[in-house]
Amino acid sequence: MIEVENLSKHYGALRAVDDVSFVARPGRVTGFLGPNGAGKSTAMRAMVGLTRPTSGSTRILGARYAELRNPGRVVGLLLDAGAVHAGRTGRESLRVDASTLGLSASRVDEVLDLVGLTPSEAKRRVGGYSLGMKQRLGLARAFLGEPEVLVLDEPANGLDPQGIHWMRGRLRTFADRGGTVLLSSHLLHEVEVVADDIVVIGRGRIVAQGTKADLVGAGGALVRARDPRALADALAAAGLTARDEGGAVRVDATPEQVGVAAAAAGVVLLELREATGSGLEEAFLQLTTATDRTTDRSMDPTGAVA
Amino acid sequence: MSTAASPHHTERATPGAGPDAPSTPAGPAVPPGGVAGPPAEARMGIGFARLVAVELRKMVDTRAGAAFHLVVVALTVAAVVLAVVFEGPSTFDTIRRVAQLPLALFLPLLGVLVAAGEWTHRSAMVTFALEPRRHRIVFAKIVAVVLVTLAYVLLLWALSAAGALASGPSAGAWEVEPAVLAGSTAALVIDVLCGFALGLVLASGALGILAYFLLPIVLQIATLWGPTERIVPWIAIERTLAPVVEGATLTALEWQRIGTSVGLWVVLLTALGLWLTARREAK
Repeated sequence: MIEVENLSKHYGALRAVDDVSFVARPGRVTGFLGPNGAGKSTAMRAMVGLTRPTSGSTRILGARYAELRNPGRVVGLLLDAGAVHAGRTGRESLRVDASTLGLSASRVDEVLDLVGLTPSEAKRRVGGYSLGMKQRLGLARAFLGEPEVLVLDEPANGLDPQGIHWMRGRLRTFADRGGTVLLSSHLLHEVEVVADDIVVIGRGRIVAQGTKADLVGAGGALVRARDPRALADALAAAGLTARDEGGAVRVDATPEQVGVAAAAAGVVLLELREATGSGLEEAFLQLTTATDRTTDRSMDPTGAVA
Repeated sequence: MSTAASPHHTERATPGAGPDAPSTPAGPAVPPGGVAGPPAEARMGIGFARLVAVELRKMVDTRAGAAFHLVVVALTVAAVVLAVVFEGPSTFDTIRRVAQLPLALFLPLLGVLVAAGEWTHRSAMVTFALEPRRHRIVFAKIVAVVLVTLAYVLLLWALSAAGALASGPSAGAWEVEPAVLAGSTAALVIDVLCGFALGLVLASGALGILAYFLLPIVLQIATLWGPTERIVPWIAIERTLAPVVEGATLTALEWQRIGTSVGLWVVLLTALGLWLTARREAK
């Protein structure tokens, strides 16, 4: 559980994080979504005290981060995969942290294995790592202390598709076991795929938050069948309203409801997925454009009284 | 790799979480989902000795760090050899005086680099995330760097003794004032701590080293100017420590000057560095 309350970080007149409040709940993946420069990273650093917030507070499992006696055993952090001493090998870098946390060297090998860094890669100096390898090392570090809260800033950055797929699976499992996951991304799709709850931030302020079902899933389900007529009958029989959308059918129901209805009627489905709610995507696009426009005025932020 | 197990698959029984396990605000209720609370040791904090051990390890586990120590050891050995070869019959103390020069030159730089390292190498984010009470990291670094300095002094003495043995029997080969050994060691440690304080305040290895070398020069120049002429003897640390290195019995005035200079360049500067470190943004 992460409770962020009225968190702000100002740099002079620039309000990088402006009165941000939200809760990331255990058992759920919370997506922290916003365009580049929206304040996601600053907010995350402020949550764990790496940046001193101008005002506001964050409680993790009910305590301020600085009050946690051995925070690495409670919170797994990946804030900047590049913020590692380049002269240390990957394994040594984790071993240093493991000894700080009071963990054995075998735990280091476990997490290296977990993120798919081979022993020969782990023996190389971090300075020679690709972005993807640094990201894997960062994820290994986040899992090192067997935390129950994960705070990950753009964890998909630099990972190959296989790595991204693996990471989503890990985060899902982690949350399903009762862990709390907060991950940021500037890509709507990235958050949509993995998050249960979504917090949208723009220009330092929260512009929308809610469950994915509220924000994204409002679009219903998209379904395609081998026999469209049979599908239409099956949906009608289940009492679901549907409309044709150029080959696919959009149904005002969850994919599960549609699947159950199709299975009951023995309809062969070719595709079934959650339709993207156009609302969030539009809002996010507007936000991105709005932020882009304000960068020109960032020297003189209107309304930002110093 | 998709078959990898959960991060919670072991060591979750927390047998240590008995009645002696401290209950802190951090101790969460066990959520129903199956993730147990953090193990007992997670709530006990990180022992200071462990932080010191980690800082010692961090001094030698990079190529640059290992190279630094190799160079210092090699120069010290070379200084001993040169002293024995060129000074003819050498005593323990004449060898020690020559061979301490590389230490006096390099160890304060080690102090600068260790103090500034987290910021120079961007590791501050991880280090201060694992121990948010940043002053504990700084104190652990101070202890570690003093331990390393003392280890070098012991090595210096051992090498000097070996040099004295090798240079053959000579009158007074082992004559040395304990006050000289203690004084020169103390002066070395103070120099290292001064370098550390500069690195801590400036958060940059390069700037810290520059400052460390510039300071005595600036103070030397300052003696040429009337108003500062009388202040310099109180704050120029290599001047105030000169009688200490010689093992002389110190006068009250000398003690006061030592107190002033060390208070300024070690105590005050370290305090300022701690204050800055606590506020600096790790990014």
